[in-house]
Amino acid sequence: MWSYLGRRLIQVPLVLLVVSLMTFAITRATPGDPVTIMLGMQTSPEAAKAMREEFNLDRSLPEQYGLWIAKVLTGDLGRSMRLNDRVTTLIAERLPISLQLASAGMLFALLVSIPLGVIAALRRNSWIDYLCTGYTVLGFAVPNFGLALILIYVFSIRLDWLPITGIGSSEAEAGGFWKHYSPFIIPAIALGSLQTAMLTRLLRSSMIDVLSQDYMRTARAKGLLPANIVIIHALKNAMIPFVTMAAVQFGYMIGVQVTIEYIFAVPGMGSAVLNAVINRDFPVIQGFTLVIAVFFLVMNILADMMYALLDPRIRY
Amino acid sequence: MTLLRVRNLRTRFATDRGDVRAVNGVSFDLAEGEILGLVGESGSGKSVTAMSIMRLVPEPPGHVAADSLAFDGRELLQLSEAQMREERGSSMAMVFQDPMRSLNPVLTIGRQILEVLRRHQKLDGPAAKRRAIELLETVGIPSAEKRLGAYPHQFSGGMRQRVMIAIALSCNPRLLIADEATTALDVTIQAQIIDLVKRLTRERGTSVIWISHDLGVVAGLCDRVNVMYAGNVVESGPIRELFHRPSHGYTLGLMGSTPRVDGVGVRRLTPIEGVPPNLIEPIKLCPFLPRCRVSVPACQATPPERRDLGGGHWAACLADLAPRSVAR
Ligand SMILES: Nc1ncnc2c1ncn2[C@@H]1O[C@H](COP(=O)(O)OP(=O)(O)OP(=O)(O)O)[C@@H](O)[C@H]1O
Ligand SMILES: [Mg+2]
Repeated sequence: MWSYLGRRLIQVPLVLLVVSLMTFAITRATPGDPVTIMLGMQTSPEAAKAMREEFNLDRSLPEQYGLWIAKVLTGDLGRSMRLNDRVTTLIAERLPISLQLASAGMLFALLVSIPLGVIAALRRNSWIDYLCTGYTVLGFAVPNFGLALILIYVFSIRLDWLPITGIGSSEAEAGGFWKHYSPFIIPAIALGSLQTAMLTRLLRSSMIDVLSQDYMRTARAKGLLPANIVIIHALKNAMIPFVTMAAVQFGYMIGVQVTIEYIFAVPGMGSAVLNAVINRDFPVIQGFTLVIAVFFLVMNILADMMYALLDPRIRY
Repeated sequence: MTLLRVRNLRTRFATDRGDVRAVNGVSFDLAEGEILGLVGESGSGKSVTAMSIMRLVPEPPGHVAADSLAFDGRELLQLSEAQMREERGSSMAMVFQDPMRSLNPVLTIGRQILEVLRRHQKLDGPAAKRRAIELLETVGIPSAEKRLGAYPHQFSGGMRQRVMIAIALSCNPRLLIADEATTALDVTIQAQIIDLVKRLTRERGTSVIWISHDLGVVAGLCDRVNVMYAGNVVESGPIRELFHRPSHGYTLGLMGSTPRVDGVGVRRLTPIEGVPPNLIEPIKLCPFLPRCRVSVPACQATPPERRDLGGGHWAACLADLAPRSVAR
């Protein structure tokens, strides 16, 4: 177990190196000059030159990368070209908000997929099973921004039940429980819809598989109560792939919630990256991508660890 | 006293190709403290008979019907699922055929034993643990205390089989159904388990249905034996009677011997040729007829009735094999 963890951790820097190289290459290969964008067309050549020098943009590409990575190793991700803030400060501000939103999305996905997946498997080919199938198909087919717009229209504009924006705003943070958390509801549902569909489908099929196993017959032959049979004997087995998938998906969500953050004006990682891309704010793009990659990797390793923890047959 | 009465038990499974009549009119009585053997080829309906008694046949696709299926005077088919749950694992217990897959892989052995004790005997804490250790020792698992925390995959097939037996015995059932319970075990352990079963019937009056392919084990353990073919009992009798005077063409085939006309048996081990009938098609004549070596012209005309051979021995066979015996 520990040696496996060690081997996995050794891979992390390698993956990050590749990620950083690719992000660097992509930022530099995309047309658009950050200095022109930041300072505008009319700026003096001196100011432009000074900025280029400050951010090493006057150097060759390998040099730029080398200088950047050397600083990264000391924990310094540089400064934003546009905001003049340290990238690490920006991350410290925005990562918690993104994590909260991703957690809310995952929470929604779990709250729906666990009961739905279990009941659909127990009542195979019943109306609730068909409902579950229909729901998962929709979850896969409707893009999250589409769902976001529908939810906004229905629950915010028509019914006026839920706020559209407010995540991370000082007003919401100062307010009570409802004021604080209600802005999360619609974005969380929109963000988690794909994961809900995925996890429901996975749990349904793994439950169906488990229910047909011989040990379930043994459990019934013992005269155990149905709740005990379903929760302890079936769910404990069916949860193994489910938990793993949920952890991987959680890592993935942080990276893909850009659109949702943008739509709901969430001051998180995603909207910051989007702005950085628009402005060619190289240090922010590179730093944020690296952090998202780290998070994704950590969740993946955690998923494997959980797999081993839940399944006594697995020993790495 | 009769513990279990089975009359015209019929279990079928709905499939795409039609209804499979897996058990088709089984009748027998099981007395208290009696060990009844159930033998027959693969697919003859032994496990389904057992599962029908326990009411563990999944419905659908299965369907169980009987004129009577009475356990201790109560009609099992009339009990609710909740009432059945009180009996299963407690007064009636079953050891399943496949030990490798009958234990839950993510729960410890200890937990899988303790949960039955908790459920039916309200036994908890150290007392339950002591009982679990005692049970594991009874079935011959060494250093039982340490094994409680182990998972099934850390056990061999034989050990798992013994755990299954320990679980089945945990609440002192009045009826124990053992489906190939010793098949995965080596000879020494097998002998231990057989001794244990004999002791249980003697000391506690436990009734046992012992399903096995191994006629040797059946002969050494059982009081009576039912020979099953194509979902029905074709011959039944006390063990000595039946082995001494097999009176059904199929039983003869099972014993791997063919009687000669002069009545002196020869011991020639021959597998029965041919395949069992398709259980979807209705069977009108003797189901064994196409494979039978001792059939008589009457077999082509009428289905065989139970023929009483005295001493509780009967066979559903038209060929008169009674005077002949098989040398063993
Ligand atoms: N769920 C099911 N659906 C359809 N047919 C079934 C089902 N379960 C059992 N059967 C059929 O019932 C018949 C009897 O099966 P059973 O398992 O009782 O045989 P068996 O005598 O125990 O054989 P073995 O010695 O191989 O264990 C077989 O033909 C089998 O295919
Ligand atoms: Mg069987």
